Amino acid sequence: MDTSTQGGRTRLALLRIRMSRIVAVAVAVVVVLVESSFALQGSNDSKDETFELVDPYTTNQRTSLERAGYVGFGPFPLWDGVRTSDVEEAIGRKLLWVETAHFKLGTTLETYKSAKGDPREEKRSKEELKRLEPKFAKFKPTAGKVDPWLRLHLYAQRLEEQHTEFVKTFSLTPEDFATENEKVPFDAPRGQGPYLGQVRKAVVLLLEKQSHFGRVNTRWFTPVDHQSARLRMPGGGMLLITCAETLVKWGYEQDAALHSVVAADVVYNFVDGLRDHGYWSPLWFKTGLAHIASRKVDEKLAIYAFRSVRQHDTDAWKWEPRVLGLVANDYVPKWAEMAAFTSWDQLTGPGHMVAWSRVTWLLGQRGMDLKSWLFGITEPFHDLKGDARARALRAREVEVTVQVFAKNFAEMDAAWRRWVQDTYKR
Amino acid sequence: MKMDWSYPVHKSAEVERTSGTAPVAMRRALSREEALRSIAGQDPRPLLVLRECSVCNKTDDALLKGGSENDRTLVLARWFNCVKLPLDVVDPTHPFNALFPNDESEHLFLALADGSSKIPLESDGSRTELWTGMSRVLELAYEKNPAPAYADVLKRFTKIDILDAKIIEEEAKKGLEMESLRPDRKKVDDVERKIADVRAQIDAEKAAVEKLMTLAPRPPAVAKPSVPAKAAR
Repeated sequence: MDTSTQGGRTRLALLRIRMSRIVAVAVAVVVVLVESSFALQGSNDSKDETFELVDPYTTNQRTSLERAGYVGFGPFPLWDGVRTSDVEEAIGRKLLWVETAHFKLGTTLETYKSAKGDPREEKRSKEELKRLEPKFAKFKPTAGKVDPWLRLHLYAQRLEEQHTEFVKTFSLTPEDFATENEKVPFDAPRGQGPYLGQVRKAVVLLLEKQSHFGRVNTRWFTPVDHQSARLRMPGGGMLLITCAETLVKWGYEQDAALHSVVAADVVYNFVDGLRDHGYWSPLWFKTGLAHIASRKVDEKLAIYAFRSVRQHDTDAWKWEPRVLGLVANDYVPKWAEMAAFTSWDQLTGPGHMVAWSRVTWLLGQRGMDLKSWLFGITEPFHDLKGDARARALRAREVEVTVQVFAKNFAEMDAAWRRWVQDTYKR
Repeated sequence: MKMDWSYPVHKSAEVERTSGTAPVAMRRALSREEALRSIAGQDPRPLLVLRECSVCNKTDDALLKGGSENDRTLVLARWFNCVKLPLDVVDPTHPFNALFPNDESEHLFLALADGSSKIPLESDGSRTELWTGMSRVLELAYEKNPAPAYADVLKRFTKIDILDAKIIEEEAKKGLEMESLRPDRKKVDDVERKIADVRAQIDAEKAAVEKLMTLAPRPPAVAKPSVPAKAAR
C-alpha cells in the first residue's frame, strides 16, 4: 500500500510499502541509493516555488540565447492547436520553456538540493556543469543547489547531447530526412520533416507534481497511472511527459533517477518517432537502446528494468556477469524469440539484461551499416494496419538483419553468445 | 494501495484551434452546476473533491495523516471519484471557481455525483469526521452501504501485497539459480511452478476485491439536501 506521504508511516503501511510490487522494487534499489545519496528532487518547501521571470544565466538577451544554442524561451506552439500558454493554464502554474535545435522543453521542476558526500553525483554534476559553462557569459551556479533555470539548461543540454549521440551512432544526416516545409507524400521514405523525419521538434515536459502530469494528460490525452507518458503529438512529432513526484514516491529521490528515466524515454521516442512510423519498432531493440542511455547516466539506475532488481543484492546492477551466467546456462530467449516480443510482460528481468547486452554488441559491430538496420526495422508501412503491419515489419527485420550483418537470427544469436563469453567476466 | 486522483481540466468548446496562432477563448468561471458536471464527467460515483493548498501541496496530507488508520480512508476513497483541483481554483476566473470561491472555502468536500448532499471538510478535521462523512455519502450513493465491507477489502489488499512480495522473492531466487555456475534446473522448474501458483492466488484475490468494490448506485431521487458546513465539523 503506497501511503508515501509526508505523514507518518505505520508498521502496517510500511509493511505494505515494502510489499507492494513497485514499491518493493524501489526499496530494493534504495539499498543502492542509500550508499549514494540522500538528495531530494525539488525542494522540501510545500509551496510551489516561484520561478524567476528572467533567466539569470542569459538575462534573456538575444546574443546570450544564440551563444547557448537556443531559439528562445517561448511562448511557442507545441502541437496542433496547443501553445505553451495552454499547458500553463491546464496545469495552473508558470512553466519554464526553452526551444533548442531539436527540442521544445518545458519544466515545472523546482530547486534541487544535492547532499554533500555523494562522490558519484558530485562527479557527474561537475562534468555536466563544465560542459554547460561555455554556453553562458555569466555562469556561477550555487554549490549543491540547482535552481529551476539551471535545471532547464541542464536538461536542454542533456537532450541535445542525446540527440547528437543518436545521430552519430546511426550515421544519420539531414539528407536522410525531408527538409523543412518540403511537400512529401504521407508515406515518403524520408519522412515528413527534418526532425528525424518528423515535421515537429520533439516536445519534452518535465513536471514536478503528479497533479501537473495528471492535468496535461487529462486535458489532451488519456490519464495514465505511471510516471511517464510517451505520445505521438496531434499533427506529428513525439511528446514525452514525465513526473518527478512519482519517482520520489517510488523511492528515487536523486535527480539522476529522473535523468535516467528521461534518457530512456527520449531514446524510445527517437526510435518510435523516426520518420513518423509510429511505435512499431522491435520492443527488444528500443528497450536495449533505452537501457544503454539510462545506464550511461548511472549504471545503478536502469529503472525500467525493475524486474532485474534483486532485493538486498547491492550488486544486482552489474549486468555483465549476470548475462554471462544466463548465457552459460542457456536461460536466455533465442534471438528469434526476442525479436517476436511485443509486450512488456515478455521482457522478464533476464530479458531486459539480454536486450541491453544484444544491442550493446550490435552497436559495437565495426563497419556495419547501422543506418540501414535502423531504417529497416522502422519501415513505416503506412499502407498496412494492425497484424499485417506487424508481420511486414517482422519480415523486414529478418531481411535487414541478413542484409546488414550477413547473418540470420540463429547466427546472430550464436555470434552474440560467443561475444558474451569472450567479453564478460564473472 | 494509494489515492487514485483524477485531475479534471475544463475544455472550452468554443474554440478549436488547428494552428498555434489562432485566438484563444478567455478563461471564465463556470456555474456550480456546470463545474460539477465537468468534474464528475460520466463517473457515477460520489465525489471527494480536494483543492490543493500551499500547506498540503505535493502531499495527500489533507486526507492521509499517517498511522494505520490511513487504510480505512484509502479503502473508502475507492468508492469515490477523487478529484484534485489546483491552487489557483480560488481565482475568480478559474473554470471550477464556483466549487471553491476563495481562500476561506473549505479544503475538501464530499457529495453525490450531482453535487447534492455536500459535506464540507477541513484538512485539520478528525478522522472520525472524515469517515462519518464518507460513510454517509456512500450510504446515499449506493444501494448497499459499502463502508462495512472495508475490513474485508483491506484484508484482501494486504494478502495481494504479501503475494506480490512472494513473487518478487521467488523471481529473485529463480534469477540467482539461472545465473549461477551450476544451476539446478529442477529447482528453477519448482520456483516457476510456485510463481504460477502465487499468480493464480493473486488473480483470485483481485477478482474477490473487484466483486466487493462493485456496487449498484442508488437512483438519484433518493439524494438528500446538503449538510451545513458547521454540522460536518
